[in-house]
Amino acid sequence: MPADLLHLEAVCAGYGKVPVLHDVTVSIPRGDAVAAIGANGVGKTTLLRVIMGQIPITAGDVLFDDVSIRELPTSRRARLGIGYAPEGRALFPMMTVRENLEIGAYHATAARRAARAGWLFEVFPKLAPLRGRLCALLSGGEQQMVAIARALMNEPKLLLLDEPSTGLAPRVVGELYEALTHLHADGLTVFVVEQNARAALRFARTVHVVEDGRIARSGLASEMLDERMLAEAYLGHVPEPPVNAP
Amino acid sequence: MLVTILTLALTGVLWGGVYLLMASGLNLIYGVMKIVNLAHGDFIVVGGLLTLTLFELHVNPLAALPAAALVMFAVGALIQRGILERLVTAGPAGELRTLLATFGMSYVVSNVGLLLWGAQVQSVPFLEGSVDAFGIRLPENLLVCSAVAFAFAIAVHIWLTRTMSGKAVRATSQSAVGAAACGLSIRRIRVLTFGLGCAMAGAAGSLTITLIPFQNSSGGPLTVQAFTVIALGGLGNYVGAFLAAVILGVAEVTTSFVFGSNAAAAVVYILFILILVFRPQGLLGRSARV
Amino acid sequence: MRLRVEWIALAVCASLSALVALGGNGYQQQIVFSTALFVVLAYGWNVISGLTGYLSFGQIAFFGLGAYVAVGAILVLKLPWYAAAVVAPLAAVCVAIPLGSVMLRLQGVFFTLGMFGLGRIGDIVASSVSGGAMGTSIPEVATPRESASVMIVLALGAIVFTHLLINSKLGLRFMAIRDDEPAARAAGVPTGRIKVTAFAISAALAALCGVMYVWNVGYLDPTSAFSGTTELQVVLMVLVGGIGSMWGPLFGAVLIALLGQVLWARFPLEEQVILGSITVLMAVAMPGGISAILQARGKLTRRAVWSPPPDARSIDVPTRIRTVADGDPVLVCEALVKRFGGVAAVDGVDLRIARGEVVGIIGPNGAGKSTLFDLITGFAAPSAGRVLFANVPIGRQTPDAIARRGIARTFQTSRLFATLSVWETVLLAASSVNAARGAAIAEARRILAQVGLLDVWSRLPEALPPGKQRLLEIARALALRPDVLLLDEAMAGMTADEIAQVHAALRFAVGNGCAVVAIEHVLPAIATIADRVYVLDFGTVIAEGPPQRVFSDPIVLDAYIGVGTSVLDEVAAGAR
Repeated sequence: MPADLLHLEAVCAGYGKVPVLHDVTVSIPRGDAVAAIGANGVGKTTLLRVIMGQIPITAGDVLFDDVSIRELPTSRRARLGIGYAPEGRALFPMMTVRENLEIGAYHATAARRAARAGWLFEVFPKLAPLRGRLCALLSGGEQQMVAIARALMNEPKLLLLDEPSTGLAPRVVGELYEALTHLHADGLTVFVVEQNARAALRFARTVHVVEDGRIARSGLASEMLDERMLAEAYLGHVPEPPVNAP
Repeated sequence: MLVTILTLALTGVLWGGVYLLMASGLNLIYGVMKIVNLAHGDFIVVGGLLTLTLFELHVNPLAALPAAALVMFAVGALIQRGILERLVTAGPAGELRTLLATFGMSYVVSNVGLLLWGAQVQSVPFLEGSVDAFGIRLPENLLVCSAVAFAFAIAVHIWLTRTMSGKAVRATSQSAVGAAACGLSIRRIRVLTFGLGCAMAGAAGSLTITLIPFQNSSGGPLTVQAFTVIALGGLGNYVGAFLAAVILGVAEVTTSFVFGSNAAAAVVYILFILILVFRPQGLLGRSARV
Repeated sequence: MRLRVEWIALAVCASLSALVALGGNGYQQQIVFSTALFVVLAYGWNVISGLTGYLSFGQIAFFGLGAYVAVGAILVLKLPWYAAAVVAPLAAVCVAIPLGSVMLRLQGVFFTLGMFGLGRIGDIVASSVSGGAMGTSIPEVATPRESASVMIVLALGAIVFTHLLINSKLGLRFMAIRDDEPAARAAGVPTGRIKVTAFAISAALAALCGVMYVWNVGYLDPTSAFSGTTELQVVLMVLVGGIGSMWGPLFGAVLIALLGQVLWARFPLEEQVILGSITVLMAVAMPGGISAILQARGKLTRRAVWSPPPDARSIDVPTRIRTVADGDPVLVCEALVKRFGGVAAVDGVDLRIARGEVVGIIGPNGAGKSTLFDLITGFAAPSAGRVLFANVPIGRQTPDAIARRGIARTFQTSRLFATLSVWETVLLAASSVNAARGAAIAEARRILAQVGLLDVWSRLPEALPPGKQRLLEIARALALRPDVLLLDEAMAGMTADEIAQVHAALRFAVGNGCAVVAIEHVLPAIATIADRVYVLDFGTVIAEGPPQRVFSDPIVLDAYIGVGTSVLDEVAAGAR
């Protein structure tokens, strides 16, 4: 069994003629929790879109379980075992929480779907009483939980999360990452893209800092604690000193 | 007087069923693919003319309905698979190109109708009696067709809301990205949807030709009529369409009774424009997507 | 000069057609007539659907209207045909202006649907008004020679007219609306009025053709006045030739009109099936038509409007009247609120921007920054609160009026005009606030020079690197000579050189009293020149003050970088 569950090899990609990712090589080891952090517009979301095949790559390759998936459509990749909670959550707003989850395991048997949904309502106990409610009527945090739960319905080997903390209050972000920590502890491989660096650092073991469509730095989360460096990754190189650590 | 009003109202409601079926297919296609199918009315006409041919072979119009629907399903699925699917990835210019394509298609379909059935006005006689109750007189064929149309439209609605495959179609209409992330083959769903939309048009045609005579070129006004229902109910909103179909039915029957049938066509159109301009989100005032 | 070749070719073709019109037999003259008629119809359709981008499948209604007005004018008012040819287009304009004002409020698909419907009920209305499907005859009918000759002149007129239009401010505005209507409004284009103008021009040309048709055949019935075949042919012609291009309608009209003659003679029943199939095929496989193929090889490419930019020495930059005195607030937001459903994206924001001030707005994703800009520039209406510009509430003014009055903006995701060159993009905005052509040109040139885009003035946006694209957006906003400039992450993705260029341009604008409000994520882009910074989170201002103080504020770091500071300690503890 290969050590890397997912491997991007020298990937270039972009929208139309605008290149966004330049020669990106990233590995997601089996069982790891990996985060990609960086400011807006550096290509974090594009990285996930490339993995899911929502935009084609112009060079390089994407390997999942050591098999190239670069020619596969999004749906096939999902069925191979990549769960994906996209940017903006992409829920089905006029369908109930339960229905959203059901679609997440569309190809499974009804019994399996029910069992899986039951388990996820235990992982996200907040969702259990809301199962019959339309997703449009949920709060941001609840919607994000549905998005993650839906991505987990198909028993994926890898979970991809695009900025799960966007628009959520700090307390809710904490709850969300707590649930993710439990899932990861149970053996799930997770790749999360975040602007919220602290939340990501708390959760992930390996961190990649993305800048201008390239991986600028990689390392263990525990090594990325320099407040100054983080501030720079986000705010840019603030000219005059220091942002005093609070 | 009261009897007249009641007759008009009931007739309108019954027509509403037929309009609902006409519009539902269009609504489904728009909801899932955001395609405005300008050839929809022409598919309705061809469905009707197919029924005519089967009728001439001594097939009961109601028995011909599933056949017409099936044929139109195949035609629709082929069109989506072979033609429109190529425009899906065209980006912002895709909308314009899709409109041009369905505009061209409306001529192709209606004139294939011309080649196969000629230009004369056609009708299928069916249940020519009428039912009297409390002085209200309603034609039998309208009663039966309306019931069938309501049943068909409601069956599709139930399929959409209660079955997994129907839910997959709705999911795709609400978020294609989300549906793909769940492992649904969006392309297959689009083909299925366009096919089903055309099948509903075909079924509506089967019923309509037993109610009003039409010819190969009647498609354009039918497209406008179907769009009026959707615009009134809110694009992509299936419940709104039900209400809108009934309103349109009553409005048209009443205008037709008071001012004649030409005025009724104009009323439908004026209603259509007024809604588009002043209530683009439909009468219920809630867009289908939140 | 490559233009000259086309015009010579056109002159030769026109002369040959004229020879046929004058000396050919009746059948040939009729072919010339109908081809020339289609040329005018195609150019007319191209104005609204091609140049302006509002696809109309109902322009045939104006052809029918023109024909019926002509019949009325000739039969009832006893006017000669040439007088009818003036009256009918005027009548069409009178109908098109109110109709367009209503229909053009509909966006994209809905406009198309509305016009499709109008085309479909035209003959129903006509047959009720004119008393049935029976036709009407007129006494005065042209000889084939007369009608063909006049039609050639009109076709040439339509071509020259389109040429002038495409090289004018009006044409530039049409194309800007086609490419990106909100961006056109942000550049100060009064889109409502301009769209109606395009619609009316298009209607007038169609109506003129209606008159000529009646004069040629001497007879009119509802079916031929509102003929679906004619509509389809016109659409197909422009599609084949190249929608929105200068020469496309001519190519397409000649090609399809001749094809139509052949089809009508050989396959009268199958004609529409064949034409419809070609339409579908073109839309799917070759949407740019013949023009796109030629243009891909560098032939018949459009020359930029009012180009090239003049030399530096001829520049005379006009000055702008100051709106408020130095130091006075030029832009004030009072308790501004915007709710979407139950969520408040902007929740009681107070902002006070002085003349000549540079202010940064920062905050995490979804903090409501871009929504705030939409509220200030009229792209969204506030749920509560108000915006004052130079001490006057802006109320419910349209975005383009606000842009012309002095609040310019850029967009978070780039909104450039795909088919307008760098020069035209800036000229469009400059001509919104400078009525005189010379002033607009001078202003556009000055700004391009200032931001360093003058050497690429003839490029299309897609040919520019991303940083230069952002620069062009800023240049477009600056060309409005604003009192307030709102930049929405305008410097994201720029190189240090480009940022320096923007800074220079901003300093110049600020020197002239312009206030700059910049949403930024890359803070150095604004930190070095910002006087003050506002920090937004969850739709409210959580901090405000000079940059250095704000950047070291723990609340700000929290909002920006992430959840509670204790987390870091935890991780640190874990690492130990």
